Amino acid sequence: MREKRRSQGARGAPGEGSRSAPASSGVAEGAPRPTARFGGLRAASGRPGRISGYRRRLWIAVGLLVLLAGAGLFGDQLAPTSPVAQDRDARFLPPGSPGFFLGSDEFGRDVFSRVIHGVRPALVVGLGAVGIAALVGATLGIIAGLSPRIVDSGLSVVFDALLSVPTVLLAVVIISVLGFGVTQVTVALGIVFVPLFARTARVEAFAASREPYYEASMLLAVSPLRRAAVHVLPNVLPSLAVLAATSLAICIGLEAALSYLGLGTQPPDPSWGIMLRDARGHLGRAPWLAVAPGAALALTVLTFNLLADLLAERLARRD
Amino acid sequence: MSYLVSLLLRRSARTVVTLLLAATAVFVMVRAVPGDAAAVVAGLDAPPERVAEIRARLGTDRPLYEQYVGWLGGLVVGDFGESLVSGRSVRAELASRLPITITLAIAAFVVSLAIALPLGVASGARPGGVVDRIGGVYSQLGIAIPSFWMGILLLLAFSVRLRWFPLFGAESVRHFVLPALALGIARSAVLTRIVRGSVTAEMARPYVAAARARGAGELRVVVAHALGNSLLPLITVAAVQLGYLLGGAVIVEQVFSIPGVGRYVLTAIYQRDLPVVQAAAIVGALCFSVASLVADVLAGITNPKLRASA
Repeated sequence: MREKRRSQGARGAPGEGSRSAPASSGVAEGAPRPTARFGGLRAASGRPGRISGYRRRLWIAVGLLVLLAGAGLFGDQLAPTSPVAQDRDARFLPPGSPGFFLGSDEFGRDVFSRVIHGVRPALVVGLGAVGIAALVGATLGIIAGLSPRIVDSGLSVVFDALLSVPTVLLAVVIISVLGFGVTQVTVALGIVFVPLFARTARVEAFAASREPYYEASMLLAVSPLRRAAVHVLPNVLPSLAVLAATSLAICIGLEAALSYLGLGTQPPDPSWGIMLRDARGHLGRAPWLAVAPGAALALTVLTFNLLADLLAERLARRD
Repeated sequence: MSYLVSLLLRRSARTVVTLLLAATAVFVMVRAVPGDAAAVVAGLDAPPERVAEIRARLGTDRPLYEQYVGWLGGLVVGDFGESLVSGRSVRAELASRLPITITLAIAAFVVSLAIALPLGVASGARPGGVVDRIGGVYSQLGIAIPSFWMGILLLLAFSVRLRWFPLFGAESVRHFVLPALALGIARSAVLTRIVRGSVTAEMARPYVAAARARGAGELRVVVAHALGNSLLPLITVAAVQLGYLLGGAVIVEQVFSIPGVGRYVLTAIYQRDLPVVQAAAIVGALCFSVASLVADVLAGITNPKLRASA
């Protein structure tokens, strides 16, 4: 049974690895273990051995990343005006109007400035949530993977239970307790993603614990903490990096969705989700309001998904 | 046969354990809030009597273990308690809205399969070909475009410009077309990749080479030989999609003003109606767990390989 865990969790297929990570020992279904989330976002792409346009896609991803980082860091300098500056005389101006490159909204605010200013909160929430999830998840996962079977099974069953609640609903439960706002959404998304990271880390940690060097370190009575840090962590990190990139894309999408629902970023702060919510109310009068924030959001998600694909291909090639 | 019975029993037992733990996790999360949940629900300057009343209705004035046992016991018999705002049974309220949300999820599921199956199979049958390249771009874009933006874009094109579909509501079949598309397209992008991967892997097997060597045409090789085997693993994937669709429906319902579970939950959050939010999470977990249970049993029936390895 224990061996089975390992064969299923082998890093050979990084695409499937995170999703179909086997769970509690004791129940072997043979089929991949489903979760309520991320229906295999990064499932097998590209045929083995042939990487199509790797280099080209790498440059596209790096270019987009630089663009995002630039807008995130220097948004204040890049945006022509303040994202909250209202102009009663400039309501609902179409794109291309003088001074309003992408048009203006119902309060006469500059759409272009608001889109640019939306980059930073999106990245901050995404990075914050993934940071929390990776730190807590990796710790729990490594503990599970290296622990005796009873502890491991117990933790795994808990991870599975958390993954059975659909992402949005679990996030909503946590937000209803913590309250609305950017910090609350970051923490909520961080908690929601913990079991996913834990499961991936657990599989890799368990695989590492079967390696001869790990057994040697046991015989040499290396302290457990050092063993985990030196012999296990390096094996866990590559898979976590792929998962982190995917999760970043998903978290940024979810943040926008939650802000759209009014649970995340609060007005008047700029957020793509809120901009789209405002746009929904003026579809007939100002259709342009719905285009720019959505495109910015899609481009950001695309960037991190591309990055995740590239990382996964890189790992598959190395193995 | 005995294999199926044991699979069903083991799998059902695990589903029950998973659900109990999920319910426990939701309980812990709601109770772990620092401070008094009742005070949060009542709002800032509520009179002490109102806070005490809510505390009694939430049951937070009782010891923790008693609350926990009461909450789990209620769930087992399908009792989710009463709404703090309306005082009505949460189960009845959810039951009246669930059909709408499930209709939307299933419609979206059909949309995603209708796109992903042909596109994924055609892509996987000839990797690197024209269809595969189009499919690759489609799935990257489909994954990147969030369903609620897709919904707004569809509204813009088909309701505002062309006026083919209504802008909001859920009275007729026509009301469900755009929401199902918005939700389904995002899922189809993911599914296309999975189908393609599965077909590609199957096409590399020796029996496919053998079929080609016997002189079978490419169409026959794909449809008669590889297709069945490559679609078997997708049964479990389908269950995962259903779970995702239920979550996604919460957001898409808001875009199209569909009075389903999503809207109900959202109104509940704005009003801090904790019993409703908790119940929705549990029902979501229940739907997903049952779907995944059914999928695993179906996979056990249809896939002899699983039987051999058990």
